[in-house]
Amino acid sequence: MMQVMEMKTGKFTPLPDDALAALSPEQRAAYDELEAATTALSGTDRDIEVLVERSRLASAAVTIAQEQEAKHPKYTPLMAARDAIATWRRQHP
Amino acid sequence: MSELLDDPLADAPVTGSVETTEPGDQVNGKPAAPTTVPQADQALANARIELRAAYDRQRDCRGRVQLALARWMRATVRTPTQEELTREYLRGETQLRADRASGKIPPRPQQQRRLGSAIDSFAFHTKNHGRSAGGGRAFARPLVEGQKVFGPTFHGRELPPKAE
Repeated sequence: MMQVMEMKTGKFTPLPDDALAALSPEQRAAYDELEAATTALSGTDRDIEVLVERSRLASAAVTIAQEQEAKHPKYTPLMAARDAIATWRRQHP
Repeated sequence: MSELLDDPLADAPVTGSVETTEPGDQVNGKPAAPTTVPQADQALANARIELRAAYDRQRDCRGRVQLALARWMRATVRTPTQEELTREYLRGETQLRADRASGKIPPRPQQQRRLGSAIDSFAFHTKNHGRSAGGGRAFARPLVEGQKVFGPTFHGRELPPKAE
C-alpha cells in the first residue's frame, strides 16, 4: 500500500506525479476523496483555533463589563422606580 | 502593576452617560466590543454556539476522513492468496520453533499432568482425608441436627449428640 497518511498524526502526504499517473481510476477516486477530506479537516482545525480564541476574548469581555458596571452603576429601571416613588412621596407628604 | 490597572475614576461620581455601543456598531471596520454585561453575555453565548458548531463540523470531517481512508486502503491493499497465507503461517511457526530452540523466546510452561478420569481425580484429591476439592460432596454443607442418617456419615463423622 502506498503511504499517503501518517496514522499517528493524520498528516496527509501527497503522492508524486508519477505515482499519481500509475493509479487506477478507482484508486485515483479514493485518493482524491481522501485529499479533499483531509483538506476540509485541516480547515476546521484552523476554524476551531480562531473560535476558541474568540470565546476566550468574549469571556474576558464579560469580566471587564461586569467590573465596569460595578464601578459605574447605570441608571437601571429599578433605580428609576425608586426615584419615581421618592418624587411621588415628596409631592404627597 | 495593580495601581496601573486601577481606574482613577472608580470612586468619582458618574456625571455623564457612559458611552455604549449597540451590537451592530462598527469601530474601524470591525465589530465593536460589547460595553454592557448583557451585550457581553450575548457575545459570549454566540461565540460558544459557533465553537460548538465548528466542533460538530470537525467531527463530521473526521468521519469523512476515516471513510476515505478505508476506501483508499481497500483500493490499494492487495488481498493475499490462500497459498501466500499458508506459506506465511508456516514460515512464522518455523521461526517460532527456531526461536524457542535457540532460547530467544522462553519455552512454554509445562502443563500439569491431567488426571485420567473423574474417579482418578476423586481418588487423588481424597487420598488422606475425606473432604477435598477433588469431587464428591467436598463442599456440601455439613449435616444438621434432625437430618436422618443411618449409621456413620459419608465422611466418617457422627452427628453431634442431641442436647437432652
